[in-house]
Amino acid sequence: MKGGGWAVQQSENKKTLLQKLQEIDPKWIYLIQLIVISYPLLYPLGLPLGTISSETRGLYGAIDALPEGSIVFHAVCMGPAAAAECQPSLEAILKHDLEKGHKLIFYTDQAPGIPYIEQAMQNVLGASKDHPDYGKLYVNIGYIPQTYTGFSAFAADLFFTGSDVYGNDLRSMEFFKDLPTKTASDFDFGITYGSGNFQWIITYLSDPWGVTCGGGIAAGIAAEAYPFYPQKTPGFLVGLRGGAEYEVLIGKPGYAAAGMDAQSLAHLSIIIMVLIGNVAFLLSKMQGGMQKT
Amino acid sequence: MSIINSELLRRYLPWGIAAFLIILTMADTVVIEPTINSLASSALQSSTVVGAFVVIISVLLISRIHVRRVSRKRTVIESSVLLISMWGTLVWGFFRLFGAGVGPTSDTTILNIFDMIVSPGDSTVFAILAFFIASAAYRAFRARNLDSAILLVVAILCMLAKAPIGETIFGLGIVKLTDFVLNVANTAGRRVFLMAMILATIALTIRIILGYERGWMGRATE
Repeated sequence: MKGGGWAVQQSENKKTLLQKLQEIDPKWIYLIQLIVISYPLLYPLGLPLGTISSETRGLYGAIDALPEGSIVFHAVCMGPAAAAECQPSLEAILKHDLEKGHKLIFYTDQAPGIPYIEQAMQNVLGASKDHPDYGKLYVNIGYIPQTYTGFSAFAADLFFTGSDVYGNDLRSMEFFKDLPTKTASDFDFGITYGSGNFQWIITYLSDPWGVTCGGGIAAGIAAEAYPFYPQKTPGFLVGLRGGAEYEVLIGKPGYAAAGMDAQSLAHLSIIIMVLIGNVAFLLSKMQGGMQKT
Repeated sequence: MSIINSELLRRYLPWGIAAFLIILTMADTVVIEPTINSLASSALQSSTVVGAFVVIISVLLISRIHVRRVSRKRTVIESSVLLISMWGTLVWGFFRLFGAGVGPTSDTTILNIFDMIVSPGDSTVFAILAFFIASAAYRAFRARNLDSAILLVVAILCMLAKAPIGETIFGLGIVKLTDFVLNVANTAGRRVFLMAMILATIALTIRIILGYERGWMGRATE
């Protein structure tokens, strides 16, 4: 065993810098990431946000153009994993809705989405079920199981669940009294949040009911939304950056804008590490080729 | 052969129900006829109720699996924690609902469980991904051939452009380049996938209606 250990030690010593760089212990990478993400959160660098994307401008423009009293449907289809990215987008859009005097209706396709609706209502409206305008301007339908079929049933009959998330009777609410069809076609705009499929709101709300839809989606699924833009959707917010852009557009920088420095440095550090790894890989490959010749 | 095991109940009845529901739902989207629309709406509502019952079955199945593990002294701690947490929350929820008339969305204990355990736990698991991705990208993301080199360059471009620092360092050009990648190259590729997926769904639906596709009944396709 001793001889084997000595041989391994010798082979470790013979490793070139390029080899060592390629086989770096992951704990050093974790440490670098920890520093790079934590530092700007504790001490903001104030990097400029840059040009606001056309997708964000599109969504902002569409919501801004809605007349007062328009009904905006918010599908908060996110759990804790996506909330860090999408909750700031939800709150920024709600602030805009509030400014414009829109009526809001909330729904989620997953049980963990309910507390995020509550949180957003508390943070932006100041209250949820105890709000004086709850039932008149705001309604929280809550969780309906079976994503697509559940939503389709709700879209065909807004009273499908009978009561809201707090157990209040939907039929007695002032919110629904003047709605002509009591179906999803009464909505003026729909927005989905989360890391689920952006396509569903287009397929099950926009196309069958003629409701213009957007999204506040996780960056990981952003590529799925682009095929629908700009023909099927006026715009969407991509990850935390989208939220930050929206906060800037409404003139209320918040949590998303504060997270941009950390995201910038995290991206940059990953890119630098990938480049170092690749340079080491290519150089060692070239050295190997030269030794063979 | 009893009627429960008969071919009629095992094969033809599920197929007939599925075919009827598919045709009904499809008709609902193209026909404005009150009876059909109302029937289709009822079918969708029923499926949501069925979905809620599936949750009950899931809870029972998970419980059975973990009770077995505990009784066989495998993963005793993990399974016990899961069972106690799940049933504790469930029993407390029912107790508050039927005892005090407080629903789970208003009950502070249930909300605290979510705020203090579920949410931080799930967020932590998701946040750890940043570290894993960084480590995996450093050690495995190599330009070994032309394909991986293209992937590498595009990934770096998108990462730079989607964080403010990219534009700060390289100017607006990098943003425009990334917009081109996402709006043209990505959209073209994604639309191909979408079309293929839709055509496959239509084909699968026709096969179910005609009775050729029986995998969903728990039997192999003929």
